[in-house]
Amino acid sequence: MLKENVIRGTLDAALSNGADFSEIFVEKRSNQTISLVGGLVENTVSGQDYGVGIRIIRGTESVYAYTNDTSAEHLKIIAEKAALAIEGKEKAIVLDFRRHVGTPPMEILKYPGDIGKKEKVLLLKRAHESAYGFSDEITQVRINYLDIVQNVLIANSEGLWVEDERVRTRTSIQSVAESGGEMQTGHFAPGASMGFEFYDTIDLGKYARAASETAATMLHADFAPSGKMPVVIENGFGGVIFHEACGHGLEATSVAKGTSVFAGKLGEKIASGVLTAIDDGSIPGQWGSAGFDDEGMKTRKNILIENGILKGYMVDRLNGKKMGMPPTGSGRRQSYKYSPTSRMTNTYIAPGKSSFDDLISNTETGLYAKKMGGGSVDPATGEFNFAVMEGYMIEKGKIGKPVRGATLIGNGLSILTKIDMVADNLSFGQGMCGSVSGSIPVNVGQPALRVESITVGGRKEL
Amino acid sequence: MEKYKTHALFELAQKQGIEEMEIYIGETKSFNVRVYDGKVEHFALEENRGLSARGISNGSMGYIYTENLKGIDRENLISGLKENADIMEASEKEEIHFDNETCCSMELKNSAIEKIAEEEKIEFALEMEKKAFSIDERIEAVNYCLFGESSGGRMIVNSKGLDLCEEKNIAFAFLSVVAKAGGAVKTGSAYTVSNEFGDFDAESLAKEAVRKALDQLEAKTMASGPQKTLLSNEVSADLLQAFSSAFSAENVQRNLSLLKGRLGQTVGVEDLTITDDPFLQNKAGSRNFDDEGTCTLKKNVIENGILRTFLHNKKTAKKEGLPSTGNAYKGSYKSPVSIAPTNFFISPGTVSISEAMENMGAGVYITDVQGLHAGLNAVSGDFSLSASGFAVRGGKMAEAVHQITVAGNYFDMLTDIEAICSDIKFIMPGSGQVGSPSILIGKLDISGE
Repeated sequence: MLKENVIRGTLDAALSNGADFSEIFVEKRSNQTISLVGGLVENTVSGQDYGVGIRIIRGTESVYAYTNDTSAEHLKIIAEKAALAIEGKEKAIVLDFRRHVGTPPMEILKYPGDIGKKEKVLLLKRAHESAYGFSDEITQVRINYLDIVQNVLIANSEGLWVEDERVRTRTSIQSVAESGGEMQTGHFAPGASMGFEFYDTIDLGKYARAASETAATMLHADFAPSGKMPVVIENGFGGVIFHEACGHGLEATSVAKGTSVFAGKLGEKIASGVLTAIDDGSIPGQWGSAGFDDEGMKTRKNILIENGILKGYMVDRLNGKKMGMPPTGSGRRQSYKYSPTSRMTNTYIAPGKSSFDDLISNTETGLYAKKMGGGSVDPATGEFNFAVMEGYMIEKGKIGKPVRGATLIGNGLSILTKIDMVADNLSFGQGMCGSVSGSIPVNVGQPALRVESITVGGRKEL
Repeated sequence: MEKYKTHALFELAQKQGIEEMEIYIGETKSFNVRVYDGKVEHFALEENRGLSARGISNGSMGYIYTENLKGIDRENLISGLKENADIMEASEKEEIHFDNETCCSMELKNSAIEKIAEEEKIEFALEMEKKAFSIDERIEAVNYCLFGESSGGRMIVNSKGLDLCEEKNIAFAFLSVVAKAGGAVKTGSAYTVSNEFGDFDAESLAKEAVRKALDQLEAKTMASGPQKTLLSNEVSADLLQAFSSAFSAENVQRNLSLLKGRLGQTVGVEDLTITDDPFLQNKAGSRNFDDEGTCTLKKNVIENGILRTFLHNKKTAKKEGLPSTGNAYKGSYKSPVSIAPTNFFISPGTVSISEAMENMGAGVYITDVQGLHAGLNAVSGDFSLSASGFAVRGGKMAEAVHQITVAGNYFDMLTDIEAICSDIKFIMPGSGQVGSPSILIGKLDISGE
């Protein structure tokens, strides 16, 4: 992507004012998006992102610079200008490079660029038919398709040289149901670190119908209840509860400053004994996976919580230095425009021993949260929220009538002790996670689980 | 901003059978500094430049972009554009325009701030952090403290003769503090967005962030049930921003807005006026022309409760036989032309916060909401959000409340506004910049215990 002498010259210029470490991140990324509204292609954009990020570290201070102008002279100017922001007595030297060329954890069978745009449109039209034909109440369907081929080169003054390729695709389907002056929506957005062959492995029509089913069901649903109650959270995207309630708080980004509620608790029991949680960026084909992280370290499986005991954090290079801990392959960034930091990849709760039916039948009165939306957290306080998009009442141990969306809120430390049943049906859901190093693809996952008590932000007294 | 020679691209496009073409170039240069523990923790220098082209091939509009301007492959760009145009099917065709109008030429750039030395700006960030610690010993950490500034421009040139360029700049300061007392931990934050360095006041920002955190230290949850609810200016602006897409003619025409078919009808209380004004001094949404090169204009979207207009670009306006309202918007050079407000705000009333509380008697005053990207649905108008604030009793602010949710329907809420305060505030810019005064709502649903 860039010649070795240019990389070396840039890394060297970055150290010119004295520093411990310099790094260059070169990115070339092809994007294709296609959007259908009402079954017709309304927008399609393709293009190429191309830029370079330069990072310099001295002690725990860091400087980051980026540019789209990647000529050797300009990179040297930028690197030297950035270097002025930190000053050190010791100047590291650029070591000889040890080259590693990564391959995606799973072989790409159909590169997006090799598939005709018309074939992509055909796939989306079929999905539209499935969603639109679901019921007469479906009045609009919006489909957004995306494929990405991201090539990165990461090299640093310690001699690391990693080239990696990430291929991803995702299709989001939003259905709108309308009746009597009211509108409700349903949404599904499957994605993977795969080429176009992803669509051979799933039935997109099934997801499209499911999006419409949510919209149509919610149109005739009552308001969700309000107050504290037991909630059974469905598998797959239900894992957003762990992502928000705990995952962000285990990122070194907030642990290193001691401002996470989970800082200083390694080895302590922080969750109910039925809970084991893992972050694993190396699972073949999964949406949050990559061969190497964005600091050039091989991704791996990290156990965060085991049977309720806090085992580890997700650590990047710079925060690892502050914490005195080795990095865990968790350094991630949206693009060359962001300095990397510790982030989640594919984060999930391991399967338990209960069956889904046990969870429901053991709940006298409560909420069954079938589909979830996104959420957020303040890692310093542990206060989190996430949205339920489709819910059902649980009455006398059985799933009852549907109820509309509501936000669930709680505090991460206390909620982990309240997860009292975990089912055996682990699955994943795909999302985009926004934080300091930008918006990145992540999987959330879990088997269905029960929280014995959580605040449900509905509009009706129970 | 540096000119880009479009001639070669236009010529090649024409040779390849592209009828009309438009080039859009976006450029930004910025720096930001984050301090921690009395030291610069992170310093960033950024420069970004990208080019997008849209053009009409066989009657359809195709889009393409690149960030590799120096190594641009024109042949590839044009063929990619044609391929994208080939699969377009929308019934309403996009067009490339040149109206030959002279737009306003309000100055959006204040070069004075760029001349102030970086050291002074770093000093400002350090001062914010120092002040925050000095105000109260319960401040345990200042977990984010930063100052940044960015200047940029956009250039639109097309084969019909349009040739526009506009530059602007903006700076921002933000801090977030962590307060601890007993077992309680709370955070509070504050920010300023402006291109006038004199608007940045380290002490007042630190005080605001600290006050917000301390206020919540003894917060408790409250009983569930419907309440009269006073939404703070920031919270009301957050909601307006999240629901502003309902005013986009694109969403109306796509059947994705509940305001469809309501033009000329009453959609809010009589005191409610919502304005889109592209000519406010020192606001991030200000612009003289939109992203299709149409001159922008000020208009009331809702006037005294009546829905007067949607926000249009050329394509949506043509469909209705109307002129564009100058709201064509591209999120960046990468995006196709869509619609967004400029500076979009609820006009302030005359009531003060304490008068609003006297009016309400008992209820809740919401000063912060979280999870806006997830807990609301811009199509249905439904929202359910994590919230905190204060109980109101006997017409006065009482104890702090947290770990509650506030839920309702935005479109119902606009007809249930009982008072509009005078304290208008603009929030951090998104696509445009949104503002609101605090507003009192007759009933929203609170969930707590």
